[in-house]
Amino acid sequence: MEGTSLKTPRRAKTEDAQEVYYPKTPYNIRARVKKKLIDFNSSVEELVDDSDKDSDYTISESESSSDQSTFDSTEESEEDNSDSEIKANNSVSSKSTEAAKHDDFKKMEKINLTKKRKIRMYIVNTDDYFSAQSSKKSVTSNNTLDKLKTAKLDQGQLQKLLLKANACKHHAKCFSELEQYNKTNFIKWLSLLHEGFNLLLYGLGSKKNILTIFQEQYLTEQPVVVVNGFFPSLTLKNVLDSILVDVLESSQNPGNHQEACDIITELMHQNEGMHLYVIFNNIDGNNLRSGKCQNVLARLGSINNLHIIATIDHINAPIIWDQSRTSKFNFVWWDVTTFEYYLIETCFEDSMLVQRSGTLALSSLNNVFMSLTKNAKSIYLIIVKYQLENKKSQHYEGLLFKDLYWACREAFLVSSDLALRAQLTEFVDHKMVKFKRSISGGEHLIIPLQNSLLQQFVDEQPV
Amino acid sequence: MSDPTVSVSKGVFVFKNGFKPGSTKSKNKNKQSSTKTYNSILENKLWYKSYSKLWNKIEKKIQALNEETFSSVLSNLVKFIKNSYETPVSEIPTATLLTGINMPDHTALFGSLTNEIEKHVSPHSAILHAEDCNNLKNMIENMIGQFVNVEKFSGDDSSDSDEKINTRIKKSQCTFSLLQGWYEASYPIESPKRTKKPPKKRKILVVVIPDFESFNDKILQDFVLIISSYLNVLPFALVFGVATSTSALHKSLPHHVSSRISVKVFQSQTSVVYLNNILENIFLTADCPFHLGGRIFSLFIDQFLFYDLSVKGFIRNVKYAMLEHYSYGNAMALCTDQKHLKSLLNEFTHDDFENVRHLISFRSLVENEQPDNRIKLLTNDDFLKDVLHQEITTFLEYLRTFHLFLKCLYVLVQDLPNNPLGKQFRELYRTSVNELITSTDEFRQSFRLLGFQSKDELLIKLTWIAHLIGSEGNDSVGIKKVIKTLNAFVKQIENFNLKMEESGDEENDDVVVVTKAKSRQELKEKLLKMTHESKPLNKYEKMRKELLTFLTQTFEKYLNTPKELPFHEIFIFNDISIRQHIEGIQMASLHEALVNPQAYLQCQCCTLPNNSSILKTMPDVCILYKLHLECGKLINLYDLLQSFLVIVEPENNEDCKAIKPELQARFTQAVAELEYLGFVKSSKRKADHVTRLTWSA
Repeated sequence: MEGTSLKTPRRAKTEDAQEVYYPKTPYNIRARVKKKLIDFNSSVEELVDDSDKDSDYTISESESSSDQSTFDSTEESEEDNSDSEIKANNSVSSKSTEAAKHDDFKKMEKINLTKKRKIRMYIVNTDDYFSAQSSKKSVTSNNTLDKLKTAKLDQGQLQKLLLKANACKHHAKCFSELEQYNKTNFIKWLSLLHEGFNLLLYGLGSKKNILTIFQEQYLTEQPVVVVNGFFPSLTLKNVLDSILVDVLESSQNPGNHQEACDIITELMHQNEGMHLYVIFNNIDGNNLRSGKCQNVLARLGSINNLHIIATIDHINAPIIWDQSRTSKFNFVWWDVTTFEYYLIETCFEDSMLVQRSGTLALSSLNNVFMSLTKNAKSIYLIIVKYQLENKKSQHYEGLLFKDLYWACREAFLVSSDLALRAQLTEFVDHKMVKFKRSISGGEHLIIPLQNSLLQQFVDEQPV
Repeated sequence: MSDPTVSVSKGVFVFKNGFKPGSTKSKNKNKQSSTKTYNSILENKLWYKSYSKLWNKIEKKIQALNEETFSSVLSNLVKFIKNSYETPVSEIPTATLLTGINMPDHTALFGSLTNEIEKHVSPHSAILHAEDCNNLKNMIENMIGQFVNVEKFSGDDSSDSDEKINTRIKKSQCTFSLLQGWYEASYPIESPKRTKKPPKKRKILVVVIPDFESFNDKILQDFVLIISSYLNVLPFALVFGVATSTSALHKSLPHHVSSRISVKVFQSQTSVVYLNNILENIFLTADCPFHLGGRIFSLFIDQFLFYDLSVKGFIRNVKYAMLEHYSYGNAMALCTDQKHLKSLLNEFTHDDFENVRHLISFRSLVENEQPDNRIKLLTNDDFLKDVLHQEITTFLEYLRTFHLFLKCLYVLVQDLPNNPLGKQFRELYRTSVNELITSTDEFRQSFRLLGFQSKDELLIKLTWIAHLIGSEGNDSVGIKKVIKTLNAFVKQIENFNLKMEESGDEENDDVVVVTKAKSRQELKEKLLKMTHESKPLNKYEKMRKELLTFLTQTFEKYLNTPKELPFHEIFIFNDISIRQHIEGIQMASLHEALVNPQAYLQCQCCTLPNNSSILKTMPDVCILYKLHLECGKLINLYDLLQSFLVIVEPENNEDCKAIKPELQARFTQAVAELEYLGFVKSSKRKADHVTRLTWSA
């Protein structure tokens, strides 16, 4: 660098002397761009190189860490420590003793904990994309899971087994230490929220527990709304309704999201002394991902006394915020890695390895069915049986209303078209049956349930 | 489940915690309760008091500065709108404001624009944001609602807020006929005599659209067409905020629409200028005791220049840094003005002094002291108090001179060719807060270049510097001496003209020497010799040299790095670890946790021999993540399960078809988690296969 910077004026001069018309400014610009490019290149190299932690920002960390640790009486050993910390994270035993020494200074301990974490830069290598895409067809074997003797597990079984297996027994202490560490940040979180920032928690592992603890410990005096973003049938309206109707007890409840936002803003402004905390478990949940939703949420986040604490888990989650949304959200990012199972979060997803038991649907069907009259039960069974008989056909359209009517008449279940319709209305109301019109104009009846479930249902009926 | 926020039928849970909205009574109660929880934690702490005092001051200054700069930028635009209806119009007068892509800052800009308009042009203005205007109906209702209801608002300011809402006209009733009726009622037309004396000046209806690009083209076109048809009865004016370039306007409005508007383009200030303005007037001054260290400062600047160009974001970052800085403890409460120092120190408790003793620079202070003073410093709080008072006063004084001379240096070097020290004041600040600026190569280079400057250039700079130092009102002995010497130099240079001629002879001698050469060879040698031997300096050059040495010495004296002074940590924040809270390294953290869980767990069992190795002891997700990194686009679940089993239970390799249900459960959960994290998704191409969604290994 030095050489070029010293050379620059001289060369510029000679050129000026030789070619008078040669404009001076472009050369300057060129030289500067070149310098910048070299700078940039070297910095990129530094970033790419993981083992060598000499990039602009990491230097400081090592410096300050060594500075801070050397402050104590046990200077030399600690210096060694921080050195080895930089090289590799393997001097664990000595570090734990060090932590014990620092027991008195909670602040120090906190600093040490953060210092221990050396998160390497995650640089996406663009070439990998092409190598991944160019390889023709990735060859995989034709094995299927059917080869296994054990069938797919259902959700309940899975949870029980997981509790029993307890795969990470040996890490239990580490997990609780992580949790303790995360808890040390609680007061800071609260103060950040009150300074007008919102919190965004990221990192591997379910963060629901830690948020629940935070809520129980610190958010007991002011209203709190907890939103489970991973909940499959969550809508934005639900969130707005809970804030508007349940918390603020507003008489107005417009359908338009933006108007609802306006009213919330105004009411929050009126209740100046209050603080409303909205906790989003997974603000990147499937139903909140859309731009419109995030716009509304960002508007909520920009209200002074409405505080958002949100978590993200999806690897690409930050993409959902553009510049203006980010600025409205005013997030402070926080690494809250817990390594906890995503049990609750994943139980709504239909993972391919989990058998969808449908116990919920079946039991609700059973409940409604039990409350029916005898005739109605028989009518329903006719539809069920017909659907099961035709389960093989690819384009099953449903039982024709006319056919059902005649079948019912023959079994002395109904006497008129109208009576049958009255019965069917009840089924439709409980979503046990759906009406469908075919192209030919005939009314078809379909039960919106999987055939296997229906079979199970029939099997359970006393003959 | 005991957790009340887990349910299969609900996604939103409300905990009211005894909150009741509405009546004023509960409002007071709430205020009390909030003071109970939050204040008890923070607001009684000394550092928090200092922090909030300083932040409020800064915020006020920013606001004032914003108002000032925006109103000067926007004055032309406001004038344009004001005069737009002086002559009869057939097209809608439209001002297009090129705002730049720093969207977050625009709220402030348009806020002050509407203020200006309301002050100078007309009380009727409406701001339409794209998200409120999903269709034409919404847009028009929104606009008319803003026009009509604002009038109502200002009418009964004193009445209760509930009534205010009730007197509002419902959105569904907001139509153009209503607007027309309302407007004619507010400004009755006396048609024949109107030209002679207008009874009440008809005010313009200004519609501001801050984010032109995010509007749907069709809606905008219809909107423009509709309001242009009302132009004869309702005097509309439009303001478009365009973030990119005027071509956006032409792209979204076809000829038949754009012919209805007469556009005038205005340029707003670029955000870099805005930032420099804010920095030079607010953050990089001696009035603001809180200073950003070099690394943090360059991080924030980089984020501004290469990421969002948003001044609001920059200010936010500074705020975060400040909060982080002060939250170190009560020692940081001392980061304040001179006048509060004494009372603050009197409030200090033993713990607070201990807090001060933990500062790194305190150690070097102790080491430089006499042995008996060392003990006193470490044990005697009162002694430390006096030392603190003295040292911090020195530091504040240092900060004042530091900024003063940095400004002087900036005056000297800002227009040098190639700008070795940088073009902006902030670049100078960054270098000098980080290292000893006078010992850098760039500094030396700058002074070499200054050595080539002509008398006039130098004179201007010198007088400016003298003015700067003089206006600072600093009356310490050192500074007075500097001013005196500077003024002497200024006079000397000013009066130099007369002496110029004396030096003329020397040059003639040189010419003579050259012409005396007999052969070409001799001439060449002579010329070569001449280039090597340094030319004797003329008087001006001598003076210039003297001046520059004086200046260098002065800068060396006043621009030393703050790091060398005791208690610099109290004023200068340089903890780069806050970067992860400002930028967020979500991907890196996720990747690191999955690839090398030891980084987080700090356990002894998961030390990786190399990056790609997989250990049995790692959490299941990590094992599976690393396994899936080895695969191609499609992954066979059965095979994945087998490899998972090999790792988890290497000793059991008899029958791979009968698996322990626990292991299967773990595998199932791990796959579900990978899917949840967005690394795989189920594939329909092949049975029991998943697709990889990421591609870097």
